[in-house]
Amino acid sequence: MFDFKLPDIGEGLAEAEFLNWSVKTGQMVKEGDVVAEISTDKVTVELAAPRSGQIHEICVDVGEVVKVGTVILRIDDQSSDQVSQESKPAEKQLEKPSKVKAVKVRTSPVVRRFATENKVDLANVIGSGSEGMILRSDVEAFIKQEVSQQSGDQIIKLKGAALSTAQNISKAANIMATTSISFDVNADQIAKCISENNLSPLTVISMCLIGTLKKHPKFNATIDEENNQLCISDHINLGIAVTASDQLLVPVLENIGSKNSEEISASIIDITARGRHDQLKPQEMRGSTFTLSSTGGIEQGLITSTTPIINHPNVAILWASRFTDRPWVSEGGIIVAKVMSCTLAFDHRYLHGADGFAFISDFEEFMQNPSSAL
Amino acid sequence: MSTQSDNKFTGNPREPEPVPLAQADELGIKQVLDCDGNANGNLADPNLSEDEVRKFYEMMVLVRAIDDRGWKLQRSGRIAFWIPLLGQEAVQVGVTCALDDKDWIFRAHRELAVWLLRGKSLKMLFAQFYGAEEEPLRGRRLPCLIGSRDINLISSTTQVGASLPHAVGAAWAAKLLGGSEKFLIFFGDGSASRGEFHSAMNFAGIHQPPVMMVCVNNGWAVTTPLDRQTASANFAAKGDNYGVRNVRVDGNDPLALYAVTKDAHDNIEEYGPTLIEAVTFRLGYHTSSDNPDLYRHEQECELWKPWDPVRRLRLYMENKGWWDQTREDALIALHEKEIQEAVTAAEAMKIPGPASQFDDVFAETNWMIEEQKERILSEVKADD
Ligand SMILES: Cc1ncc(C[n+]2csc(CCOP(=O)(O)OP(=O)(O)O)c2C)c(N)n1
Repeated sequence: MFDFKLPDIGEGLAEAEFLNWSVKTGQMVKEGDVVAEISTDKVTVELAAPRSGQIHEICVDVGEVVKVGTVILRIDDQSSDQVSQESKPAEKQLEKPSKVKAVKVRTSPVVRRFATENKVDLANVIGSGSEGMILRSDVEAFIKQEVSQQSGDQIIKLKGAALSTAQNISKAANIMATTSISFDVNADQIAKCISENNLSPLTVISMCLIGTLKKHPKFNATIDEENNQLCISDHINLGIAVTASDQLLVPVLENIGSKNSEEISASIIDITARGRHDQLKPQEMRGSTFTLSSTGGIEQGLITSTTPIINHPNVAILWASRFTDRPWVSEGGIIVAKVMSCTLAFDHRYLHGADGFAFISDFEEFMQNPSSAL
Repeated sequence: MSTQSDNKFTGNPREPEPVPLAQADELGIKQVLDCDGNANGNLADPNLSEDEVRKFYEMMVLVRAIDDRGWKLQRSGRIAFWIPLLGQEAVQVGVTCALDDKDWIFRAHRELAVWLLRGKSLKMLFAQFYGAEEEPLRGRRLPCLIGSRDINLISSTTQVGASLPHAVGAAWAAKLLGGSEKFLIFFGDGSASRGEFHSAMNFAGIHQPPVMMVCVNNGWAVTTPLDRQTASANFAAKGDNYGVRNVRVDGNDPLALYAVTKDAHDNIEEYGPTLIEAVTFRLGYHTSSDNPDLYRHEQECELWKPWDPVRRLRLYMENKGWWDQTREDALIALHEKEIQEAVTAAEAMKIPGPASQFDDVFAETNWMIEEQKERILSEVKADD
C-alpha cells in the first residue's frame, strides 16, 4: 500500500483545497495520471499519481482544505509496506558523534535572541515554519499562551471552514460601512397565510423578501472593491444563514425569484436540513446576492434587534426574529398580535437611509398582504 | 461565507503578436525549414546526413519525454521543482551539435539536451532531479540546473544573466593561455536586461574572446512579455552598438540553428564573438511554481503550435524517407523504458546529509566551517 501525502508542489506551500477528484475508489491508475485538482493560494494545480495501482481509499473530500503531509490517497501498488515518500539522507548514521551540546531547535539567530530576551526556552516552543522552524510569531504565541494558561483560560484554535468564516466576517466588518435599521412588523396576516397554505414561516418571509427585492434591486447586489463597482444582479440568489454544529453556514438558493412557493418551500427544507447535517458542498454556499438570517428556531426570550454583519460581497442582510405575542396598537386600541422584529443592515457606501426606509416600507406592505407576494 | 476567487487572468493581456517565424525574411530571421518541414527558407539546408539528422530528432523527442516525466514527478511530490523546456527542444540540440566536445558551455535553465549530447547518462540526469548525493553537483542545485566539470558544462547562476561575464571572461582567459577551445553561453531574453549583459557585450566587443552568446528569446521572462523587456528592434540588434557580430535565427528550426552556430564557431578567428538570437517560444509554465493563466492568453500558445520544432523536423525526415510511424512508435517505447529505469535508479539513491553542505566551500576547511558543521550534526542527532 502506498500512502500519497499532499506534496508541497509550490514553493513553501502549506495547505490546499481539493476541488475535484478525477479517480474513484477501486479504479486502476498509472503513475503520472492526473488524480485530483487542488487549489492553493496561488494556482489551481493537477496532482499526478506517484505510483501505479488500484485506488484503495480517497481520504479527502472535495471542498476540504488540508495541510501538506496529510495522507490524501491510498494506492494499492502491491507493495507490502508503506513506502516512504521522502528519501533518506545518506550520512545521518555515518557521522561521528559531536562535542557540542545537543540543542534540538531549528530557528534563526533573531528569534533565538528574541526568545532569550523574553526568557523563553525554545525547546518548549513548537515551530510552524517549514520543517518545524520556529518563527518569531511562534514565540509570541507561546508567550501569550503562557500568560493565559496561568489564568486557566481555554484556548480554541480556529481552523478549516470556521477559520475562513471568521476571516470573511472580519473582512466584511473592516471594509464595509455597515449601518442598520431595526423595526417590528405585525405578522398576524403572515401567520394566517402560513396555516392556510401549509407553508413554513421561512418560506413566506422569503416570498415577501423576494417581492421587496424585485422593487429595490440595489439591495440585490454584490460589490467589487478592486474595481470600485457594484453589480446589481438580474436574478436573486438568496443566502440563508444556518447554524450547524458550531458553524455558521450560508447555503444559497439560486435564482429564487423565478420559483413558486412550493418550489421555494422544498428547496429551503432541503438546504437547511443538509446544512444542519454538514452535507453542503462548497459550491452551494457561493454566489449569494442577498442574505436572510432567520433565528426563530434558536431564540429564547424576547429579542427585538441584532447587529447583523453583511455577507461580503453582498451589500445587505435582513435579520428576522421568531413571532412572539406582543401588545400592538391597532385602530386606536391595544390588541395582542404576533410580532416579528427585524434588523436590516446595509453597506452605507452604496445604500443610504432613504433606500433603507423605502425597502422596509415595501417589506411591511408585503407582510400585511402576503397573498400579493405568493 | 467564503467566496472563492478563481485563478483566471484578471488583467488586460495584449493581443498575441503574429508568430515572427512566419515572416522570417522580413524580420531578418535565418531559416531553413518552413512550417511544414520543407527546406526552402532563406538559409541553405546544411545537408546533414541521415544519421546526423536522426540524432537531432531523437534527442529532441527524448528531452520532450523527459520534460513530460519530470513535470509529473513534480506534480506527485517526488521531486521538488521543475523547469519545463517544451517548445525549446531545437535550440539546445541544434546549437550544441555545432560545437566540439572540448568547447565550454554555460547553461541557462532549460537546456537538458546538452548533458546527454555530451555523453552523460539519463540515470545521472534524473539523479540530479532527485538531488542525489552521487550526481556531480551533489544535490546542491534546483532540479534541472545541471552541470558537470568533466564535460565542460557550467551550471547556470541563480541570478539570471550573471554568468554572461563569466563566459566571456573564461573565453578571454583561454585565448590568453593560447588554447583552442571555444565558449558558448545560453541566456534568455529576460537576462538580456541585466547589467551583466552590457558588461559582457562591451568586453566581448573590445577583447574579441572566442565566445558565442545565444539569446534564447522565448517570448516571456516569467510574466514579462517582449514589449516590456526591450525597446530595441530585437535582441540580436543590440550587438551592433557593442561591435559584436550578430544574427537572428529561427529558434524552432534545428537545421538553421546548427548552420548558424557552426558558421559562428568555425569562423570565430575571423568573425570574433557572435550574438545569436534564437527566436522561439515557451509553450509550458515558467517553472512548476508558475501559473501562466494569470498573465498569458492560451491563444498565443495555439499560434505557436504549428511551428513546433519536433513536428517540423519529423516532416523534413519523412519527406526524405528517413522516418515513419513504426520508427516513431519504437522510439517512444524505448524512451519510456529508459526513462522508467532512470527514475527507478535515481529514486533509490541516497540524498546528501546535512553536513555535506560544508564540503567544498573552501579548498581547505577552517574552524568556522567546522564549528557550524558540528552544530548542525548535534542538532540532527538530537532529532533522531
Ligand atoms: C537577477 C534575477 N532576477 C530575477 C530572477 C527570478 N527569475 C528566474 S528565471 C527568470 C526569468 C528569466 O527570463 P529569461 O532570461 O528570458 O529566461 P526564461 O525563463 O524565459 O527561459 C526570473 C525573472 C532571477 N533568477 N535572477
